[in-house]
Amino acid sequence: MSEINTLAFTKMFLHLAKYPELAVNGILLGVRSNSANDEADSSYLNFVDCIPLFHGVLSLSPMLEIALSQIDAYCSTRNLTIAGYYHANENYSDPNPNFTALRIMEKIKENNPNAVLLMIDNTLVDLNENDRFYNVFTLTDKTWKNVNETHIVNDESRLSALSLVKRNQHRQIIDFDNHLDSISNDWRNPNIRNELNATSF
Amino acid sequence: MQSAIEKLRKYRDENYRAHDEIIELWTNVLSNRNLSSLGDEKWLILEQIFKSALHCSKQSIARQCLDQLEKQFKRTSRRVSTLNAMYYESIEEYGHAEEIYASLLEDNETDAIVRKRQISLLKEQNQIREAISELNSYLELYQADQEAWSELCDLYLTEHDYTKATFCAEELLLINPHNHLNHERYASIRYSQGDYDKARTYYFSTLKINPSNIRALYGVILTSTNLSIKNPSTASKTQASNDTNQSFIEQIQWAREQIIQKYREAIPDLLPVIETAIQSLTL
Repeated sequence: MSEINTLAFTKMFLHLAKYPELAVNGILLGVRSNSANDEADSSYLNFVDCIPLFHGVLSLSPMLEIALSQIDAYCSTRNLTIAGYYHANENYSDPNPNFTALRIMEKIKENNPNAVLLMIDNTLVDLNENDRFYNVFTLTDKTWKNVNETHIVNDESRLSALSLVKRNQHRQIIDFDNHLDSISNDWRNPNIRNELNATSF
Repeated sequence: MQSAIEKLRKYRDENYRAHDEIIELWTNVLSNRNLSSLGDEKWLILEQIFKSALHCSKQSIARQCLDQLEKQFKRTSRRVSTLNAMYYESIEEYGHAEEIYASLLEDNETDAIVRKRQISLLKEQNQIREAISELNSYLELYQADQEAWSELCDLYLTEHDYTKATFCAEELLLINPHNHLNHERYASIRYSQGDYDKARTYYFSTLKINPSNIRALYGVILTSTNLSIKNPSTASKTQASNDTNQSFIEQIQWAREQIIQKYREAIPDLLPVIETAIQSLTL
């Protein structure tokens, strides 16, 4: 089971909107589950933030290692964990996870076996028609399994995402590539959070 | 209106990718104005709006621009024919587009732009292997086309064929050895292949050209760490081998200090995260 909050959903969408012609990927952060709490289902994922990673070429490993090490460090002080990975292919009609997605998911699952893939379906990105633009997959022994029915998206997310794109916030979102191009670009994207807080429904 | 025109000019000259902004400018400012006062620039603008409209799936705007261009330059214009074919591409009538490109090439087989559009057609239909094959043929003729080598490199990376991607990256290095980005790309592909030694060499050559290339600084840390792990210092190893490890350690230290200095100046509140991250990489 998994759910996603407005902030994570919106940031992911803004990243797609910034680079409509390219493959993009990124990380979803979840609240770290307290393993001492027997009542909570430790495999329940609650996505609360999103760190956009790269655009264009997604299959080179050195900067991925750098990004994951920084995101891990960021998570450790905030009771967060890398809980998901999203991936959009360059080709409009190709909604299938490829080898790069497989490799990155396997790497993420080393630290969090419950992590899932949010595979973007480019044909669903019209949020006036659809409430979500991706399919959720688990990975077991190199086999993907669609678990859409167990993923919850709240109503506000769709509206927020549309609203921020209308306000051209997709031009402001920073991914890890942007950060490496110029480190004053902050991959934590505090501005987006502020924009969302200024939005009300 | 003048500032809109200037902005469009800037985007054309500097090859900016801002299609939604361009369409906004058209819709809000230019579409109702008479552009005849601009002379020949009018046609450049219409072509630019046309292409941006295709990118934004605003086929009706594209159609308006194309109609005006066809009226002016007639259907015999090769440039307008190419735009027409691009319009078919955007509505997924790939067969129609291919017909136009094939006939344009029959008339003039040296038309590089049309050849590249044919390759794009293959890519659009997810026929990556075929696109790679055609692009290779193209590059046999146009060996100095950096954009094409770059595209081929990316296609090979999509297929995870690091060896062939390396070859493309090497061609780019030969064509333009002074571009730090070419060195860094080459290093990163080598790293992805597992060749930390070569990667390290080229991260350093990147820094020689541009000492501020952050990716290369991080690359030095990653490669030196990996190389020293592969070659742990022990009492039984030779002095030379232990010396090598010592120099790896020094270089990691140096790169780390460079990075910390830059973050301190640019984005100091991210520094704790960076320091922890580098620590975890080099343990």
